[in-house]
Amino acid sequence: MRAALFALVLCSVGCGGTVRFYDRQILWQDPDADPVPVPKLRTVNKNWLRIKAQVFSTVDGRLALQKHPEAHNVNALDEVPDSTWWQDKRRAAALKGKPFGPVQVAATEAPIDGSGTVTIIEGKEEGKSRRFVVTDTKGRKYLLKLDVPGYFGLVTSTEVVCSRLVGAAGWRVPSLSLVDLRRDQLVISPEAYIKRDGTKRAFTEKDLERFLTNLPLAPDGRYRFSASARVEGKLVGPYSYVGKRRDDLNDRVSHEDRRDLRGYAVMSAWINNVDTIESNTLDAYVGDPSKGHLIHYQQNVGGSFGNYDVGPLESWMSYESYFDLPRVVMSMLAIGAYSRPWARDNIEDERLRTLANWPELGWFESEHFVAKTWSPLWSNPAFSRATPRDLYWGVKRVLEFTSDELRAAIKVGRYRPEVEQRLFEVLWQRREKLARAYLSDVAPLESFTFVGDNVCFDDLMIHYGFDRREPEYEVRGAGPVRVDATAHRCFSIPRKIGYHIVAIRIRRVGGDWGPALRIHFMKEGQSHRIVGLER
Amino acid sequence: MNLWRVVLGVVFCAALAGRVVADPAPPPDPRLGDRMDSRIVRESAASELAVVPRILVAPLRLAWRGIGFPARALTNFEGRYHIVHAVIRFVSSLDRMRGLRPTIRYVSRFDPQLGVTYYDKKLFGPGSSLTVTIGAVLPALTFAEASMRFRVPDPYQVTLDAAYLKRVDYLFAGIGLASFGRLRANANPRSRYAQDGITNEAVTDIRIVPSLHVVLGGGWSYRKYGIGQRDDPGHQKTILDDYCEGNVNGCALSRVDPKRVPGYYTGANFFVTDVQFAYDTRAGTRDPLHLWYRFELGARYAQSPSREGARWMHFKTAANLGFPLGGRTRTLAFRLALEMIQPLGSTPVPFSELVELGGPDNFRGAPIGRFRDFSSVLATAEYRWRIWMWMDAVVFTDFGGTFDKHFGGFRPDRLVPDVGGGVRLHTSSQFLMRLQLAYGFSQGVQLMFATSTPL
Repeated sequence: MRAALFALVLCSVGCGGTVRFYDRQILWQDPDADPVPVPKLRTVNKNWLRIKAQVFSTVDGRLALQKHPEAHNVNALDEVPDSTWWQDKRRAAALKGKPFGPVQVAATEAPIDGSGTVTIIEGKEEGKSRRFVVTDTKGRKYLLKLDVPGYFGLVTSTEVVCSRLVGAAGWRVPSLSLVDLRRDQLVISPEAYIKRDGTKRAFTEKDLERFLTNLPLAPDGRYRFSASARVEGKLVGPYSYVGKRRDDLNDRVSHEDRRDLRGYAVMSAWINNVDTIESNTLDAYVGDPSKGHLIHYQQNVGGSFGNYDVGPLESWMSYESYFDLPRVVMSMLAIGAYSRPWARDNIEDERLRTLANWPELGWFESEHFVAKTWSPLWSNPAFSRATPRDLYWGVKRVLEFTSDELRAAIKVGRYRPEVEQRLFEVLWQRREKLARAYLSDVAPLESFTFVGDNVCFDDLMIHYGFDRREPEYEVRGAGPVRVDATAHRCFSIPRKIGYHIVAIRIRRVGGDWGPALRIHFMKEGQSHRIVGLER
Repeated sequence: MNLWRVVLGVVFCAALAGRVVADPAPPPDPRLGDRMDSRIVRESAASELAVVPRILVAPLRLAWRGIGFPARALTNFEGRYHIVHAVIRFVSSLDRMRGLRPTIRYVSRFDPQLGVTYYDKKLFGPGSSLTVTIGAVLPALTFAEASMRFRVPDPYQVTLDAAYLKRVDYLFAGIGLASFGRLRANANPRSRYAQDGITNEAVTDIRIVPSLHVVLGGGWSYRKYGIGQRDDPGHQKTILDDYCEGNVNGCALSRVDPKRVPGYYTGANFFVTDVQFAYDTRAGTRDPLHLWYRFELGARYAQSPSREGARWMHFKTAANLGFPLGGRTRTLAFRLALEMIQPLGSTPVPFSELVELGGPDNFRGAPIGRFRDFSSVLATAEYRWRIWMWMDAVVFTDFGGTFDKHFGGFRPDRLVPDVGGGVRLHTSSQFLMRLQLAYGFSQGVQLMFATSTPL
């Protein structure tokens, strides 16, 4: 018995506690685009998705009695390799020697041609939400979304701007563009139909009038629409945020353990994308049958900023999901002592003021935004399993946007100048809040380069200007950190050949020592290479 | 076995420490089962030990997942046939401005009230409304209510109400003060009577300033009484059992005593004229952020059309004080309400028109109509807090009692206490569901469940 205990302790402390990396090249491309047969169309029931997200998955996750494991699709440098889910567009552009900046952020592949007529071939009506499927003069198919009465640009501009931001950050989104159309540019096809509650009938002029009634108009009297281009390939339904697609052999990582989905929580918090339910995702099969593969899209990012599909967000939205049983029970038992943030005195008043001043943006602000308590409307299994490393990766995607890039993306929304400025300020402030929240949970050190026998790096808190005071670095296994002429931080590494681990901790002014980052590198002669980063 | 593990672990660690690789190997290939992060990972003892509790809760987890299957099948079935949508479409218009909704009201010790309400918010133009509710728990209970609200130019609002209600389970516990001693002796009164009633009223609400309303109204009411039901002979009595005339050796005359139950045989048939003032600092704001108060003062004159019929005045006053405790989510409210009936002729006021206390809307720890007399005092303290976006919880206590004319016999120690709590599920404009539980001194527990109650 004693021997067994001793063995367990020795193995867990002596061996299991030390992380090592194989000396392999870094994986930058996930080979998940191999030819596979066309998967079956996956249909989901929205009601079940909501119940599952809010009740079943949440309780099941708790009963698993498992600490959330780290994401599986990360390489040795703790980055996400490019895949059919996510692609580092900045890195791809750099490798090709192409620029990536405001122009690329604002660009889209297939904008609708709004110079001529568009032909309505289908009307869609679900609750208060109304949409058209149209073809433009070039014969391309688009889904047109409309604004809601009283809120010009709330639905349309929001979706287009957010698609630019999400797309530029690496997630795959359909091509979206804004189009302003006169009434006479909307033509109904003789075969046009509308489906409602399972019944199909002809789409008539009367339906069109009903769709357009009370819609806010652009200053020149035209209607504004967001036009979503049809995604290339065969659509096979949404993907789940849990598990794998069994009929896709390329799908090797459980979706809740994908960092690109976990880290999407930070992107969503930034743009306030509260509607991240499974039905807002999409898988498309590209290529000939059995020779193609799936591409995974974030299909609908329009429930962002202060918009929730059919109107501005309520004051509680983004603070809490629809049904958070522990919070309800806690509120009940605490007899009001446990107060929810959205229920604070001034939130509703401020919401009304914000809606009056910037109706295009809905209830979207930065002052009350708290990065770590932000919540989508429906529990997202990938978001709730996100670890500090995932969130750190996510916040880096947000931080990569320069102010010019952000302004270029906002420009696509064709807002009034004062709204443009307001949106920029809100996003910029939320970006900083996210950075302060998630850069402190890990050692935010990046861009490690070997300069002779020195390793140099960037401290993201300093690099992005969130902390101007020089922190204290503690290095184990190498020399002390010093700032070089190019404002990089460097330390000297051991000269001994072999496998080395250097650990760095940071203490910011007025703070405590943060978690350590371990750099694993090989030294052979005069050459060095990092084999892994352990955050 | 464990010794082998130690040896293997030590050998492995030693091999790792001395490992020298000339060139990096190709990147990991996840298709071959490689980890993308190239880490050399071994399960730690801690993670192996964590299997034990997981095995223990596995049956629970399996059971939970088992519940998921029928739930999913049910939602899929619903999704395929759009049953909820079809029902909503069937019972309401496209814009939801008119339609039907269920009306349920259950109060313990009384027959449940089940009905259907038709609502129409555009029949008489914007801002107007029509609601018609009909329902029954046949043959004991039948009811029909209609309410029409018209939007007339500011500051007026006209409402017409008409209601017919027939039930056989009204409670009559006598007229007169219920002192603590008598309460104990007669803790659970069970005498029931039946009533057919019609109430018609037209009301004009005049908003003088945002905080001050004057309500002028008038109408006609009719009541006919009878012996109540005796569903459960062992536990429930009729009014004839307890209030029989000359009730010494049984109920020889088979007649309700008109002195103890005035108006029982004549019924009630009267016209009313109302005037009421209400000053409310909230001025239309549902959840004010600051201290608020509401003061109500009302008088009603009622007269029977016949010359020998009863005439009386009914005075009401109430003061409400609310303290928002940290925003809109917590409110502590106090209310003091006084009511008084002043007979104006020699004919007694019908017993059903006297001041009543009891029931889920005033003295919540007692059954409906438990206390009945010429005047009443009711003091209430209530703490309400929000537990969900669409749900409030409340705890409350009431002190109330009924007294003789002009509050004769009033003493604070004769007020009866109750305590209770409840939850209400609501939208911004109406309750969807209300559940309340209260305990009254010597009255037992009162439970109330209702849907579609106006907010």
